[in-house]
Amino acid sequence: MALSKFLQSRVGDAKELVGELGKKFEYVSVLGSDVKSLNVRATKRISNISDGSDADRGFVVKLSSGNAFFEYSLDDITGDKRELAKKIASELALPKELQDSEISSKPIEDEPLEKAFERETDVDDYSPRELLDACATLKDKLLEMSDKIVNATALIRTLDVSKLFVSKNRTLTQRYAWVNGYILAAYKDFSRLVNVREGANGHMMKNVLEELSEKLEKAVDKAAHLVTAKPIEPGLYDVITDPSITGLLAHEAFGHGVEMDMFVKDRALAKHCIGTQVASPICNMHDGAAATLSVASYFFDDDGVLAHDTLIIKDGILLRGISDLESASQLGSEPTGNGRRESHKRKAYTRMTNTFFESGESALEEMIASVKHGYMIFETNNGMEDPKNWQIQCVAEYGREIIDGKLTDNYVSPVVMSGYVPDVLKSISMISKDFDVEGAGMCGKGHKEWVRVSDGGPALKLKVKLG
Amino acid sequence: MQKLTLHDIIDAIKRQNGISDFKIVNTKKQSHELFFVHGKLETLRKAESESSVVTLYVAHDGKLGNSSFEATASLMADELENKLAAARENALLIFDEPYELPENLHTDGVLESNLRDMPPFEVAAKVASAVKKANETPGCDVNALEVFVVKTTTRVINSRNVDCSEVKYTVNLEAIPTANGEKQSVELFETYSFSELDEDLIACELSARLKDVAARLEAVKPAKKLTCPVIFNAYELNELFGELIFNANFASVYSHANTLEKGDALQSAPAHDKLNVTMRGKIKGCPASALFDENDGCPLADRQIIKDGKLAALYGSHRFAQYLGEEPTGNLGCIEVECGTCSEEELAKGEHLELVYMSGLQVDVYNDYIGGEIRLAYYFDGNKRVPVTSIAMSGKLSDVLNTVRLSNKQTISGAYVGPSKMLADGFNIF
Repeated sequence: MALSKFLQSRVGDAKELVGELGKKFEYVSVLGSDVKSLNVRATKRISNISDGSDADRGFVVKLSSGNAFFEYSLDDITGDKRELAKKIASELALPKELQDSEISSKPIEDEPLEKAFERETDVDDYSPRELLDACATLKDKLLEMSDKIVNATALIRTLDVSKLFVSKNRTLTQRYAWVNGYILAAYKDFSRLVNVREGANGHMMKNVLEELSEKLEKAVDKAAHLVTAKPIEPGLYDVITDPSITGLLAHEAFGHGVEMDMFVKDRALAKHCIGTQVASPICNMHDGAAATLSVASYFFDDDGVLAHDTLIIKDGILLRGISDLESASQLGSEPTGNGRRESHKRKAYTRMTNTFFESGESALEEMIASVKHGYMIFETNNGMEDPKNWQIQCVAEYGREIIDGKLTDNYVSPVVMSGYVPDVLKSISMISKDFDVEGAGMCGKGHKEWVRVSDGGPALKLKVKLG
Repeated sequence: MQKLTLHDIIDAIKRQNGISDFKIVNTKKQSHELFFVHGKLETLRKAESESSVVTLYVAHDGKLGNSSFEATASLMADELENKLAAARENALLIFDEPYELPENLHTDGVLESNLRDMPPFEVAAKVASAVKKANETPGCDVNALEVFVVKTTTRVINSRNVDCSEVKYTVNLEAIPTANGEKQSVELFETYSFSELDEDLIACELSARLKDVAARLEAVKPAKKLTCPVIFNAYELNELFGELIFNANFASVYSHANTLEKGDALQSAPAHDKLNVTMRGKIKGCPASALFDENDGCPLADRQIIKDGKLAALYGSHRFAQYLGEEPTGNLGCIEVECGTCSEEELAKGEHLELVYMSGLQVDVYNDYIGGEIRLAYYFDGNKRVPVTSIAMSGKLSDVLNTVRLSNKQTISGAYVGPSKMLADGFNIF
């Protein structure tokens, strides 16, 4: 997979624009994005093949001269670069009421590097017709499995990313792809409607399609149990998390909490806890585009910083945070390749990528057997962070009661897990040998700036409030 | 290189064979943005973009297929031709039930806003200055502030003589009120969206939030288990009613995602106020307003969805209305909830817990659940009001709705226009 033709044709323009703006600004970079996305969907009553919402094409110019940062997002950079540079500089002029109120930032290191990155994929080998046929087959099989399924959906979503980064000393290009597949069933029984989903994801379409068809029975079985699910009796329980909820915990507890743009704003308590025990000594937690292969495994970030594997928590001790270029330049630290934008139209912030706990030593069966009364909870619905005050809320789709060390068919739904982050993380007493990272997440900053993320890890045993 | 125009797209579509109809939704956006950290300017941004979502329709085998793609302004001529050919082929693979596209519609207008004649960076600076003005609470500050001033021009064109355009001005604001005490520092997260600039209102809202964040410093977990009604504010009410009206959308019903049918009761035995909810196309000051359905150009027809606690009618797009044999309303963005008769003071007379800041209200209509983690609330025991934290609540949604009492004061929060407060009972607070 080579860089998209569109971006190949703009490399010269980007270099010329950097040169023009470099006459006025100490640091100039141009990021070009050409992201293609295809959604193929078959449901009981309608089907669709269309561009997905991840599709994005355009450029963002970033400028700095040691104080505030300036950015200009635009559709294209062709034409007279001198005129374009003049327009950009003029449109980004500081309003006079703000002229004495800029931050100060350290000069940005612009280490020389020229490199083209790409990752093998088979996404281009599948035509829309083949993908729609695959979805229709999955949907039909699902409908055939139970007459209680009132609607079934199979969805394939592809992401094909080309990016170009040019600064005075760097020219980087990357191309990679990712596939998300889902099967969903609306199941009605006992006058109750439940919606269940199963997913598969990876950089190879073949594997995703195979995995989806293996999950049909699981989806129907889960639906049949969930129509009988009861509300949980609120309380403090021994809990086993599946890898999806483990990932949600990593993401909400110490993912957002170590985004270093939060350090700049004094919005993260973690800033004051580097080097201290924040979790059980058996916990190790990572984030990084280079930490594993999943949806956020790019080669360089939207600031042109190469991908990292950052060990955030080692043996329960908080080691370091993750950062984008702007935050690092204000804090005087090294950026960690976590500068990400929702699209070329939006600002780069410090963002998580692939966030997970490392595997442990225990067998899952042994962990379940150790619980007298509690729940195993499954599947991320949503979560919310609170980096300043370390409250946490993670919502699981469902839980199964554990009685006398045995996982029962007593389902509860929904399950809201909440608590104080250090209490929750220090209560982790067992970690399984398993490991699964789910590349199907969406993460917002506040209530906006959505980026694709993965998270996961092993199963954890902990004590936490469920409601 | 020339920028791709709407004429280029239409001409290229006309060169394709076998297309029954087409639709283009063209969006031009200008966003002026300021980002502050500790009162200092960290980043100044401008974003300008134009793109079109092009949908081709192909009638075949007694069915109708469609496929859409995004045409950005930088799309090259050969890329456009390839995308059109692919969309036509894709549409032939789709066997949906036929439906008629809207016809002969023309609108050209600007949504009412006092932002239209002000230079955008000046608006952003005025918002920042209003936030600064609010900062009068000792020991408190707004740590971070982001201001987005956005002008959006939307134009919908189709092959059936539809050409509708609107211009919309909005401001989005994200602020982090923070209080610094001797032992700890605490914060709240505030986000507002508005289409009318009112600097005094911004200052007043932020000033109230700064007092709340100061209270969070003092907040503790209640010593005893609370069993009292809960007061919701507009932010949570926007979440609650947004979930409830999902049941009434034509598309939800067509895809069997609804849990209620027309005539079903959301309130089986309302003890106080009966819910009345009307979906509207536009309401002055509500940023969810539109002049027409921004997906297909259809006119927007207001409709009462919930009447006296029962699901009275459905609403939604031209396409799904046809599938269900209903009158279309267009996709209505504003949720108007009828106010009650009690003043805010009357609602707060007895023992209660007033929500200020939740992790996120969880409303699950499938599991009949409402609840979530509470980061800050005020507990009033009948005599004294104290800030509390580190608690959660959960309840059965259908039971809770039977207990609601709504305030008589109207407010706007996002898409929600309705009572400023709601008192409801039936929660387990733990």
